[in-house]
Amino acid sequence: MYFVEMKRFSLLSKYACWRSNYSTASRSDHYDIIISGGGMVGFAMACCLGKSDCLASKKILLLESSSQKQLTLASYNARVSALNHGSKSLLESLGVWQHIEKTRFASIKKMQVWDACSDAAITFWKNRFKLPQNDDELVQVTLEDGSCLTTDLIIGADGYNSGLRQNMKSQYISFDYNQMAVVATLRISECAENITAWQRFLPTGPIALLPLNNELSSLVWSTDKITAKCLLDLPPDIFCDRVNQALWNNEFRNLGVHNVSERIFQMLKIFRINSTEENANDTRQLPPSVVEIQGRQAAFPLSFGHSVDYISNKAVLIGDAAHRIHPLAGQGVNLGFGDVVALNDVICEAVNNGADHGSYLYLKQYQSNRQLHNLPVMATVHGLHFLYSTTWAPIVMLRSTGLNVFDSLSSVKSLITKKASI
Amino acid sequence: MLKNYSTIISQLSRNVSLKSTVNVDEIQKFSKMASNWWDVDGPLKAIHSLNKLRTPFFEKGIRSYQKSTVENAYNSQALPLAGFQVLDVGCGAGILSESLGRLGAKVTGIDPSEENIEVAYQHAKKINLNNVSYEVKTIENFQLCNSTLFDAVIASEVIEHVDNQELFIEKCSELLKPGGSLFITTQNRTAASWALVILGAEYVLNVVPRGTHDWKKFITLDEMISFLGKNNCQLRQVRGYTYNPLMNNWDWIKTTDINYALHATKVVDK
Repeated sequence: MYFVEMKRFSLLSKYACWRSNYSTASRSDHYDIIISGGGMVGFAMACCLGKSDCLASKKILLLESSSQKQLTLASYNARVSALNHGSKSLLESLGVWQHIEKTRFASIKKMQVWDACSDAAITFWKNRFKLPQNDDELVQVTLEDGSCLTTDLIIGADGYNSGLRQNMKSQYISFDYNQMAVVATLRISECAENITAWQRFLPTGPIALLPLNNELSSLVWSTDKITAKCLLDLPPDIFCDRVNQALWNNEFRNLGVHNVSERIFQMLKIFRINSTEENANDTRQLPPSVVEIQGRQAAFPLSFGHSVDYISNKAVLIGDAAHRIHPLAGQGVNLGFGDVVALNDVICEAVNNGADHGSYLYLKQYQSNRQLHNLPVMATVHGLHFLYSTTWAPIVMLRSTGLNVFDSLSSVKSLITKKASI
Repeated sequence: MLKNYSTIISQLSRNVSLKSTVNVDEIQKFSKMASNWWDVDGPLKAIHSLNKLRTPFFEKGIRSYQKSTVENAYNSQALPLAGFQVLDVGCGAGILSESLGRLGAKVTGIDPSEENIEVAYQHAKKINLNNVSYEVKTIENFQLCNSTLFDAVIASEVIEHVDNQELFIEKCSELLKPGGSLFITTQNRTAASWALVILGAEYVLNVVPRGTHDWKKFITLDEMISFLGKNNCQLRQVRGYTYNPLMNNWDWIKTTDINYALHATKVVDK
């Protein structure tokens, strides 16, 4: 697992401008591919397509409504992203990872439980799309200033409020978790090596600490809306107290459950299911305590959403525009980067086979591949959220013993971890 | 006198029909589909998805035996067929012609159906594909003024619909430059192909319109190889392939009993 601060991706935008076949400003009317939305996923898509040799003769345009942000390294941004190995190898292949490594990242070596927040910025997309009915017509994009562009393929990377998705009239299944994520950068104490991601499931939602460097960690605390609003208004010192309390206190502990799960844990030890070489790592570390907060805490709402169709004639959705999940497993942006790789593959395959690069036949292949991958992840994350948001004893016991047994079966665990990072 | 004359005419026309590859029923059948040709989910969706399999086969085949006259690194990446003259025989509405055109080839598509060529022409015009042209011609008429002109002649899913199949191969061969590539994809005449192509695809699953294929007109691989040998062509590669109607997907398979794709090159005269 790797953590990268969101602002890192303005590097991507600089990188994108180097390429001659790139054009982020010029206004000729037709482009082979237009990407709407310049977030992490949109820019990764642009870089990926721009680096593909088979698309060397294509004109690609990226549209972003907000002005270019300057990268500042002075302080940590409250929003961080957890990247899995699949995302890391994508960024490596784009030549972006080396820049991230040089500037700022922290790797997590000890736990697979983590948390991060997906792109929460609400983009007010003012451009209008006109999608074609027939395969020999073009997509029309009308920009804010009234100018009109045409393209063979429009890629929607415009976030969970995707304007393109609304235009596609795709059915969108969504609901609000009635929760908010409170985020902040925290200074922690007594840590020789800050490499563990902490996540604790409270009945109101998970609280997670993600290492940024040896002294700083990023907080993502998902909780109900009322608590979140209270937390937002707290002065710094009291806020830190509340975080420590949430990490340490035992008021939610159910004694009966605790006993049963301890017994099962002992039993597992007797049967030596624990592999010996991993025993050293299995001893639980205590969570760090928070000393102070850097800057202010912030919050954003959490919801679940999934577009039934990722594609329509000459239009395709990637990243949060297609799917949005609870950040408790930190899979959000990884699913998006996975979309980027898959879409780039089918576009290149189409071009190499002499098909139109926006061919519906190939886009369909992208849709079925990604839904096959994304839906189980989304269902699991949603299931975890449900499982951990209850205080009902039988379920608490089930998940507690379940975790212990799961933890012991190291072979199964490594298999699943491997799967998760693909 | 008049009686004599009409006898001559009827004899002449019989001769002509003997030497024609055109099957009028088949042309009418495909002309009726003209408006549906470009619907990727329509009655001809299998032909659209076949492009995924056949286009790379043709592209790699052409490039492995011939060198393009246009030589530069950029072309080999984005336009691998730049500099090649390709004839798509029985092009229909240009599903394959356009794919080959996008890869850079200068493509001529011929089809005896006027309706099909009209659809093909309009479609290529709309998407601004300038290196693809079409003509309403039978292969024997086209061959008269275009002998030894093409680097590659492709008859994909066509020969099972024509009369006088040996003549068809002869004409294909005559159109090729020496050393040029002839590609044929078609159905084999075996029990397996009858069960799959006729019974399965047309009657049980209804993925291909009924009556599209006449099993008796399918050519076995042996017959095909003998036609090629007689017409100065050397066999280079044969591959079997099959269709998965549930996924609308084609795959290469080991057996050539159902469908086969074949690559031959015209022998260079010494």
